[in-house]
Amino acid sequence: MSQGANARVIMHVDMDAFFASVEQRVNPVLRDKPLVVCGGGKRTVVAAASYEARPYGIRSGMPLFEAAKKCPDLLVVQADIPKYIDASLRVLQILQGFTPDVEVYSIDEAFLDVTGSLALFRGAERIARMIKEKIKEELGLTCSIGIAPNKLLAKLAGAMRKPDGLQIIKHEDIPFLLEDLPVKEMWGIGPRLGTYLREMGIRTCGQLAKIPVGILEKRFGLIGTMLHRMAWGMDDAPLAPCGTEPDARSMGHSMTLDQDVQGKEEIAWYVFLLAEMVGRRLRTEGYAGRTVVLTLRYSDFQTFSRRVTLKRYLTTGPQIYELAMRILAGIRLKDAVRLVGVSMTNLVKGRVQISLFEADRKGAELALAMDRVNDRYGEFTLSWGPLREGRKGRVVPPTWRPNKDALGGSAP
Amino acid sequence: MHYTTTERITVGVVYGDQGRIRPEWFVWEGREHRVASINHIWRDKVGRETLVFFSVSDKANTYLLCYHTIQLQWTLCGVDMEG
Repeated sequence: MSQGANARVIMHVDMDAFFASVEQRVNPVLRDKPLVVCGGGKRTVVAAASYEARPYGIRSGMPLFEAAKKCPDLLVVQADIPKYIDASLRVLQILQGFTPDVEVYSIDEAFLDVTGSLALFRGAERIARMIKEKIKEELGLTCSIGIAPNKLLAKLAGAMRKPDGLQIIKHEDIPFLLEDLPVKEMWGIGPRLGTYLREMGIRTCGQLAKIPVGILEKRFGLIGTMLHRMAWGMDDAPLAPCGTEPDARSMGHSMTLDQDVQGKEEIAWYVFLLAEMVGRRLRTEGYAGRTVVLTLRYSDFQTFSRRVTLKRYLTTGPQIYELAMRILAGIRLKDAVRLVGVSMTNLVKGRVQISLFEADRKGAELALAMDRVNDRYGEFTLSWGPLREGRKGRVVPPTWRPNKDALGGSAP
Repeated sequence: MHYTTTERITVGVVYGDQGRIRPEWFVWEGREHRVASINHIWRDKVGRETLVFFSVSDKANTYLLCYHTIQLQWTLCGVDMEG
């Protein structure tokens, strides 16, 4: 790639149909067959579809029953998160063999700044080919790689050739490439923003680039500036290498219920379970929070959140539950509920507040004692009586990043 | 046909370099099964214990073996039978 001395070379690595591909590695019977990986609930959605399932119109996020209708021979595998986390960590180890500047974007995507490694490995394309080869050799999986001067274009390049692709966007290619590119294909332009732009008669990046930045700023505010830069392929966003990610701003869990629930007593059980999971995660990662957010989704998919903020910080499930239930008590349910979510915001890290109240102090000590047991014997080994059924499945939150322990491990 | 189980089994293992282990055969239902291929290996943690899972195939079926690194035990967790 030929450009100025300060130009960066960014790589976007995207594992192809990651969960489905891992399952096809694990079980040879599943190979070359239409397959989806789903959650465990009765109303689960497709988490990943194999490339063999995609010609049937099956996509991630589609309800399973709909996917099954599209392909009667569809194979369904329940998601097994530890498998995917392990594979993701092994991919990360491979990537870190080429540069320390690896940003884990999600469980199956990463950005690499290989600017400093070009001389050592003799070029970006060679690095990309070596990465693909090593991942294939060690895990039997394929990935698609995009190489460009910034994250925005690297992600775009990665999406241009899938699966098992390698696409390079050079500086000189940018104007030509973006001219006819639909704006909705640009990373960061979602359906809503795409609709607004369409209403303005803008369908391609070329059209967007011709709109004076002032007009975009007037219409969209700060996002207008961003849109203008995107249309010209500009992006200065730095990488957040693994281990240097900013502190979390919120932590939460949500759950689609097996069937719609009418009564608050029944919802309360899910709230307690989710509150306990959030509390455990807060303590494990060293956070405390003082705003509890309860999210409910009605059967017609109308979704809303209510929040309560305290002056003191909370870390335990029962504290979070109590507040979430206070929120729930103030809601007049208009319909049956299909999804419940509990999250904490206004987080601080590494701060322990000793409560003046004995009950709170005892609650915190009890939570820590329970943590010690669960750290040793596994999650929900010791929990509250009503939660004896425990978690019904593990999910990968979009904010998933490898933790320090995981990074230190080596493959068996 | 998929069959889920949790049976303690005897496994013949080769210990390689860098602590790598490789199951070579295992006894299940009174019969020795030679491992023809290891399809995938992954780890999970339950509390402090690391579990190492091996998806392996013999000539006919695919098996999920689990090595418990603290208890030093092997379990058979599942079998996928052809047909």
